Order: sequence, then structure tokens, then C-alpha cells
Amino acid sequence: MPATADDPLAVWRLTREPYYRAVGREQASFEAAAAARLPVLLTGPTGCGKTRFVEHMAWRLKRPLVTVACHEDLTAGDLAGRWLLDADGTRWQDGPLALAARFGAICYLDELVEARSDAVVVMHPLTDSRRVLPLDRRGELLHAHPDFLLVASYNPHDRGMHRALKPSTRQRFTALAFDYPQADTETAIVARETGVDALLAARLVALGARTRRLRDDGLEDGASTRLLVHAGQLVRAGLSPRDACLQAVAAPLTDDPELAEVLRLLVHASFD
Amino acid sequence: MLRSTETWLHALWGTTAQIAILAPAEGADQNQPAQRAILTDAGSRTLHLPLSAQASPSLALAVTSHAAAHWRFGGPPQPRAGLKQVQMALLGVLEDARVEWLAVQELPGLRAFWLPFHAGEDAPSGLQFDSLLDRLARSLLDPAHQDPHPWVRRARAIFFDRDNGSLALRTQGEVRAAASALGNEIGQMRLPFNAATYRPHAAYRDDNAHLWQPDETLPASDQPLAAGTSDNAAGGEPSDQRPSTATPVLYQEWDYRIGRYRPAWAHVYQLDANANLPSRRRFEDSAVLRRRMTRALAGMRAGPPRSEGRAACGDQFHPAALIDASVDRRLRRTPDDRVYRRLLSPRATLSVLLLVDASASTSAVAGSGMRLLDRMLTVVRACVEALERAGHSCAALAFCSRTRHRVDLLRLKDWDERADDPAVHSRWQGLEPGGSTRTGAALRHATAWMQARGMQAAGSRRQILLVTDGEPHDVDVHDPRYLAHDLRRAIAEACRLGIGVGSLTPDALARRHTLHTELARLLAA
Repeated sequence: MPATADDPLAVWRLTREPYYRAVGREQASFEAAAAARLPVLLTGPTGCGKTRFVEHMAWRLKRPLVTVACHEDLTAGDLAGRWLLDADGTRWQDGPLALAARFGAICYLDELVEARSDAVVVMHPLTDSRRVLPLDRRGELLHAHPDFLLVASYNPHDRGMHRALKPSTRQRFTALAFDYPQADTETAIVARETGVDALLAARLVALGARTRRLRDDGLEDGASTRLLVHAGQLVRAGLSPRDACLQAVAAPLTDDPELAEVLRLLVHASFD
Repeated sequence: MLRSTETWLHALWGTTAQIAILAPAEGADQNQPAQRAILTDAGSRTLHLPLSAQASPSLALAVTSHAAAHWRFGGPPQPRAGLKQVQMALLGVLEDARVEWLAVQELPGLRAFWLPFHAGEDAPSGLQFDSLLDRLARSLLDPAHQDPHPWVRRARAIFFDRDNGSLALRTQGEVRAAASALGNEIGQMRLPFNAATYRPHAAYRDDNAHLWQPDETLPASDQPLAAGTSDNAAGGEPSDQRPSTATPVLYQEWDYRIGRYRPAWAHVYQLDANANLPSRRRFEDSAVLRRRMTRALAGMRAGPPRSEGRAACGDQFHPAALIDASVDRRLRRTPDDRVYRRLLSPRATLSVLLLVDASASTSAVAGSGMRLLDRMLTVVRACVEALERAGHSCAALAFCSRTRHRVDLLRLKDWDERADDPAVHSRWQGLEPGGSTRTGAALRHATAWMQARGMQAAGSRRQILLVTDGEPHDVDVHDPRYLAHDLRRAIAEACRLGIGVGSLTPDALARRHTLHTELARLLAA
């Protein structure tokens, strides 16, 4: 669906229900926050299902979902919008945050802590009772659409020095804490997403749990549910579980030669 | 050897244990029975690997995986009472097989790590009790292996349920009863057994001493546990004579009693740490700390982004570039698309000087059984490697003093040397504790060293990190406040030059799990 004059957010609408398995009352919590027009912060390790949850909720609430992957070069202009040059001179282009606020979408800022501080500050006025976005460069004060909802994700494990979220930002959000699901739930998710049998799914999940333990040994992050799903998909595509896990789990996790060796050995130990 | 044995142990079932290497046996000769791994659990767990595991990664892997299975699935030590040597050896084999079987249910690939040590050309096939134990061990690990000996077959039938698919000996008591009964059968076969020389064929199996409660009546084991633990023979306190080849640098010292500096007071000699001593130092495995440090340092940023030059994308127009573009358009030329200001967020580079206290008090043995100096050097070395990997520059000096006439600053690593340089390594190895702690003088010299770097350190944040075991003191100073006041002055002097000074205390050193954040905090201060 291309963007039209009637619906500038057409490309951001979800057409099919994304699979999501609830682990608690997070769906009700999210709906309550949406009804109260309060921003939501999703915390949890990478690949544990935060993004999938937002997609699922956007589909349930029948709202478009504008996703922005934050990175350290993301500036206020990238979010709010900027002037562009074209043949006739300059032209204003809304950034994703302004677009979502103007037309009423869920704006999802993935890994908010990665964004530069000026980019984080630009959304502050949208998060309190004002619900406005000042577009200084354009001289416009944009009032958010009633359906606009701000959602951000944040991985508390992944913070080196100076990478924690500031309290002034944090306290603007209501927060839902995510973690990797319990082993049996995660097994069911891996089996459902990949179609592998329950025994193999359980072995993949046990391998994942072992890699997560290595966080204490300096591994940045253990295998996420997403990586385990990748491994299952490779098995379905014809690889042996061993090869699939070497490719999808062991290799992507680290460049450190010592940890890489331990991860490879774990894969070898996990399968016949 | 497996490069990260400790990590592997942790990965399997979350066991945290220290790894040590057994000392070579005294007067080693060919008749000496081979070393076996030893598991100890006095407060904290330690796996002592045999020397041969250093040369063989597959052996180290098998030993460690087996030890992990013991710790995960084993029970508390049991009394020896009522068991003969034969039955104890047998119980060991059954318990080994039991924990391995349970481990293989969770991690089927482990069997392939262990089996090569049981099978092969030289697999025992004799009828002595030693050989029968080895044959039993093999047939319990490898379900596909059929041993013809009737006693081995009977033992296997007791070990597994009738369908051969699951374990029959589930509890410690059941294993003990089975060992007792099977041992009696061996007794009736009149097979001799010498427990002192018995070594299982599978070299990765440990000595199983951890299965038993300690027995005071038995002679102590003659296996010395740790290799390379230094005996701290100081060899006599070195004199305060100045070294013949060096000239001192003189530094002022603050005397709080008179409220002024004493000029040219402390005589500082810069020397190389003695690299000629035989390597006696025992470093811990510092890979974990180094990785955590590298990670903590990676996220460091310096200051706000600066605007720099023209770029094709950005938030703000570059006015001169806009005019150029307009001119180009009017002239019907293709305008340059780099019309924005480019913002750069600068990466922090650090110049860090680590200053290590090597006074005599650091020879004290800390809780982990290591000398404090060894622990400090382990941490400092991990820190140096992490800084190097993160692209920062660093140097390390050690210091000790014997009155104001003799303050030694020992060069461990210079700015332009690499941490893995053999010369640097031998200096780490050679450093021994001795003398006192005249920290103020040492810090002034370190500050001067940092200053001498001049332009090379331009644009980077300069930081001195003091690693010490306590308050400064020296044998010619009797007022404890004197050197403390002087140190405070020396810190202020460094700060005025824009050099930060942090201090890592023994308390922080002992907190293993937060040490990397503490170090990163000190470096970022």
C-alpha cells in the first residue's frame, strides 16, 4: 500500500497478525498505557521479543507502527524532520517521529539508549501532558494526534560506560520488563516459529541458556530467542543441528577467540 | 591447554571454580604413576589439572567436563567406613559413570569428548582387577560396546535398568551398595589390587578423593597442589645504597608540619623491573576480567559532537555550501550534494599510567591464596591489555622505597611497548615485593613521566591509576600523617596539570564481579 493523501501512514500498517506468545499480562498493560496515552518503555535483553510484542500490539490496536532503529549518529533532525533541497528550493520533510505524531501512529524507538542525547531530548515534550513536538527549524508546534503512542526499547545489559538511560528520560515512561521466556515457553516458541520437533527445540533452548550464562565471563550477550529461531530454521532447511548452531548461534555471538572456542564446544557437546 | 578452562566449566552447568596446574612430582622418573586431576572444595572450588593437560587440549576438555559433571550431579563426601580398597575403587568407577551418564542426557555430545580415552588400540583387555575396572568404565560410557567378561556384564546389568535405557543406580546409597556387592565378587575371584599404584586407563578421570570424607588416620597425599606458588624468600632486605648505574631525579616533598615544600627531598631512581629472575609468578586467568574491561571501555565517549566540514546528510545546512549549490544551479551545473554540516562525535582516547605498589606488605597472602602483589599485577595486566585493545595508550610502573634517599620506580611497560612483548612479560614475572610505600614521591615521578609524553598525549584524557594496599609509610618517617599529607599534595599537583588520579584499593580488588565497572569508573573520572 503506497502512501496516499488519505493515509500517509499506509506503508506502516500491518496486514497480518504477527505471532506473539504472551508470557504474562503484558498485553493488558500495554493496552492500558495506550488508552491513557502514556509512553511505554520496554526493557530486556536483545532478541527476547520486544519488537515482536510491539508489532503484535500495533496490529491489535489497529494502528500503524513507525519503527526507528536508534544508533549513535541518530540526531534530532533524523527524528523530527529537516529541510531538503530540491529543484525549486527547499522542502520540509517530516521525520518518523513527526510523521507518527501528526497522523496518529505508534512510534517505536528501538534501543533508545543508542541515540544521541539531543535526539532523546527532542521527544521529551511528546511524553508529558503537553503531547507536542516543537519543530523549531520549521517554526511549527506540532500537536500530537490522539492515537499517537510513543514506545521505546532499552537493553539494560548492554550498557558500557555512560550508556545507561538518564533518569530524566526514564521517568517519562511507564515500563514493562521483558526477559527471555521460561525454558518450556521458549521451547514452545522456537518449535512454533521453526517447525522443529519439541526435543530439538528443547536442546536449542538449553544451549541458549548456557550461552546466556557466559555473560558473567565477558560475553556481551547470550543467544537470544531470535538466534535460536534462526538455528531452527537452518535445521528445517536441511542442516544438521550441529552445523546450524555453529552458524546461527556460536559464530554470531562473539569475535573473542577464547569465547568462540567455548561456544563451539558447547554446540558440539549439545548434539550427538 | 583449553584456552579458557574456567569459562568452559562455567558454561556447562554454571560451576564457578578456580583452575590451577599441579606441580611436577618431586624427582620425576618414569616409574612414577601419572598425575591425575584433583578436585578440592574448601570454601571455594578449585580444579587442579595435571601438567599433561597443558599440552593436550582434548585432555583438558575431558578433565574439565568430567569435573563439571561431578560438581553438578555428585553428592556430598561420604565416610569410608566399612569399605575395602577394592570397593572404594569400584565405587569411584560407578560414580564416574553415573555422573557422566546424567551429563550425557543433557549434553549428548560430551560422550565424544570422553570416549577416545577409553577406546582405541591400547584399551585394556586383561583380566587383572585394574583392567576389569577400565573395561567396566568403558562399557558403562559406551552403550554400543559389548564386553565379553561375565563380571563386567553383571556390573553393567546392575548399573542400568533392564531395558538398558535408564540409570538404575540413582542415589549415593544405591551406588555404594552396588560397589560393595560387586567388590565382594572380586574378592572371591582372588584378584590382587594395589590402590597406591592404580591409575584408570582414561587419563581424564580425577583421583576421586573428593568422594570421601577426609580421614585423619591416612597418610597425607604427597602431591603438592599448586605449581609456582612463590615462597616469598625476600633474600634479605636490600640496602638503601643507591644503584651504581643510575642517577636520581629529585622531587620536592610537602611537610605539613612546617606548611611548605622541602625542595629536592626524595631521590627517585627509575629502573627496569628485574627481568632476570626466574619466572615464579602465578597469574590468575585474567581473560574474563580483560573481556569485561574491554567491553566497559568500548562504550566510552568524549564530550559533545563537534561540527566539522560538509556532508551529504545532517541536520543543519552548511551556509557556504548552500550558496555554492545555488550558484551551481544558476550556472546549470550539478550542485554538490554535500550541503550539510557534518557532526563528529569524538572517541575518547585515554593515556593511562598504572602505578603499582610493590612494597613488602604486598607479599601478604589474600583470601584467594595468592599474594596481594600477584593479584594486583593480574588485574593491572588485564587492564593494560584491555586498554590496548580499545585503542588507548597506557604504561605501567611499580614503586617501592627505602627512605627518601632511595625511591625506586620500576618500569613494567613503557608507552610504546606492546603488552605481549616478551621483554614486558619478563618484567611482570620478575617483580618481587620489598621496601616501603612512599606514594607521594612515586606519584610525582609518574606525573612527570606523563608530562614528558607531551604532544603524543595531546587530545587525550590523562589518568594515573594508583594500585596500592594502603596508607603510605616509610622507614625514615615516624609521623603517620606526614606522607599522607604529602600524597594529598602530590594528587593536587597532578590535577592542576590536568591529570586525573584514581586509586584502586584492596577491597575493590577483592570484589571480582564489580571490579571492571570500578576500573572503568576510575578511568573515566
